[in-house]
Amino acid sequence: MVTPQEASRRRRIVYHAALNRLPSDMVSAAVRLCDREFQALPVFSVQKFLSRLTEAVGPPPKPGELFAAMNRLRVVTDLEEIGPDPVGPTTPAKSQPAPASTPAPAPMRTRPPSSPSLSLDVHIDSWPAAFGALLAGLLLELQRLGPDLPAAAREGVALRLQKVDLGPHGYAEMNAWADEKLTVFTTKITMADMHTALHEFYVWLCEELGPIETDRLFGAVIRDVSALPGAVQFPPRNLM
Amino acid sequence: MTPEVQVMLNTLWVVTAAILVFFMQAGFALVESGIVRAKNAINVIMKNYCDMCVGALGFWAVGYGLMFGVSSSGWYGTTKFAVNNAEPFEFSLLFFQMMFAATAATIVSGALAERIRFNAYLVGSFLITTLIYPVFGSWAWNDNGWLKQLGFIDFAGSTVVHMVGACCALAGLAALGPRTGRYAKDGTPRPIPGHNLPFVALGGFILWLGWFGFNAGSTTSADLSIGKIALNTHIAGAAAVVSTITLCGLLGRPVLLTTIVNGSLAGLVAITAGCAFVTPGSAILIGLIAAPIMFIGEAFLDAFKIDDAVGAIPVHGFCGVWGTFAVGIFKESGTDVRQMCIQLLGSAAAFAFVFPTAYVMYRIIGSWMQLRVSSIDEQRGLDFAEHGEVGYPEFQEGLLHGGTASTGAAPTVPRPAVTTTRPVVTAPVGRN
Repeated sequence: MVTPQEASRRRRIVYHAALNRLPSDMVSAAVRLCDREFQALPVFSVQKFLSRLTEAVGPPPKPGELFAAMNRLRVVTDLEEIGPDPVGPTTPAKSQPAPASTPAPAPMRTRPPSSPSLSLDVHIDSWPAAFGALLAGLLLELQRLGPDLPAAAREGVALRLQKVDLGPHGYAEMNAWADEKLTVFTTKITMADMHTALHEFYVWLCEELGPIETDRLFGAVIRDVSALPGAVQFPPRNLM
Repeated sequence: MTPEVQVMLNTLWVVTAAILVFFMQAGFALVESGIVRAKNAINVIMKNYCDMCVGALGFWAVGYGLMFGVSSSGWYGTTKFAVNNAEPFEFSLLFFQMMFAATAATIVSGALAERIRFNAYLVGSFLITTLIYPVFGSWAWNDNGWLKQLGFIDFAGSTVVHMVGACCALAGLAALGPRTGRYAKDGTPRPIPGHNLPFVALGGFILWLGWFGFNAGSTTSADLSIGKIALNTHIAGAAAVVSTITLCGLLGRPVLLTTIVNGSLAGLVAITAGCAFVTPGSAILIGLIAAPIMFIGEAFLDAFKIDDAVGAIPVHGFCGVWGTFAVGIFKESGTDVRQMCIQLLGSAAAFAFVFPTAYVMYRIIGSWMQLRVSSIDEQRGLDFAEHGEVGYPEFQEGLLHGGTASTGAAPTVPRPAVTTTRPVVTAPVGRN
């Protein structure tokens, strides 16, 4: 394994060379590929990386341009000059949103969206808690893919929800969630509303990242949330 | 050899060839289910299994008569419906042609995969095998068909079977639209890789095997031409694979299994029209040219955001046209410009009749019984949403959904794979 600093450098090269040159789903796939396969190699070969990327997700639209951009970034010594690390500490998480003030909090705890991981002390004691944990996990995963994606997700999902049939509490709580004013959902939100909201999140993500990345991302979050205490009683899969 | 022995040999050969063509359904099922995601694998196989069945009944009752009945107008037959009494050999022909009709219908299955409702698809398949395919088939293959009278040559069905199937698929895609998220906002196609590439490879082998029955069986007699037809069929498919590999190299693309299998099918489709009329050398050329035509077809579809899940239209449509046209170029008697024009006319007639007819058909089906699954069903996968089961029950942990209503009853393990009734997928609990 290389040092964390070198790992971050490689990730930055890949991310900032790929940004605006590849579709968003390929950008995230490239970063994952770099983390998975190229952080164990002593030397980072751009040519080899592009070959593996082509094998893994298909040929990039402009391989020559991407190759040149990566090589340009490789010679930059100052990490910050390359650009922020898409997953590293130089990309700060969004500020902690304030807890809900309008809807009455339900007797449950969920992890706030920008918390570092789905910690095992979170207890899922209701369906809204499972729902909140899913949304939080999804935002967290999106944060790792791109710092702007969580905000885009809130906005995009809220827009989609305006076109579907939600109950009044469902609208209120989802709008508050979209405005980052709500992390804890109340029991007033119905199962149908939660089901619809997650589905609209899924469709929005499909359109943004593509169906394969969306399935992977939802699958990872569902597995994480399913492992939380109490999730046996309120399995998050049942909200999908 | 006495005429009786010859008839017996013909019967044996035609029925054997029909069985090989029947086995192509398994090939289609494997190729298509392997290319789609795991959550839709069963749905694709179910479509292949069932379209053949509804198609068989429709073709026996109506299709065969429309296609091969007495056609005084040259546009459709008017006898031989629901054949119960006929010369013994006619039953063999009916059986053989029934398999062809099912092949035309099943080409549609893969193209529309992962989004069409099962029942709507079956209604479409029934109408294709009962009406659309036989009417066009009568133009080209009925002794009095107007295209046949003009001299149109399509020995085993590059246009009659494959292009007709592709036109129906195109119409279905126009009515359905792409899968959710298939195209990025800037129009870039996103790859949706299949879940089982060995299935695709095995399906490709089975299709190739079946193609020998498809082409060589079209002699409908056990004669000496069978050997050349089988040879031409084989080397055209082989040449198309070589051409596909070369093109991948020239274009800097990875040599993917799905591309290779589709490349071989492109060559096989292309040689289908002229397999009895060209030399083996020409068959190789036809196969070599089929691959770039398939690539052009793929680019064309992506340019118009036509989401053909398995690449059926480039393979069966574009290469069907090429193979039909190639008969005029490569036939053993020499290049014939008039023949080339007739061949183009035949393909144009197929498109002009089949595409709008199939499009109207799918629109009517859509307004009657909903053509496309809901986005929630697309999310969950059609295996579960349409059939209430999943393809790989041992791996249900990988499912995104719980497979039950969200009632709060909290089942911890997804529902059993086999059910007798369609599950309730949503159960809204009292709206506020």
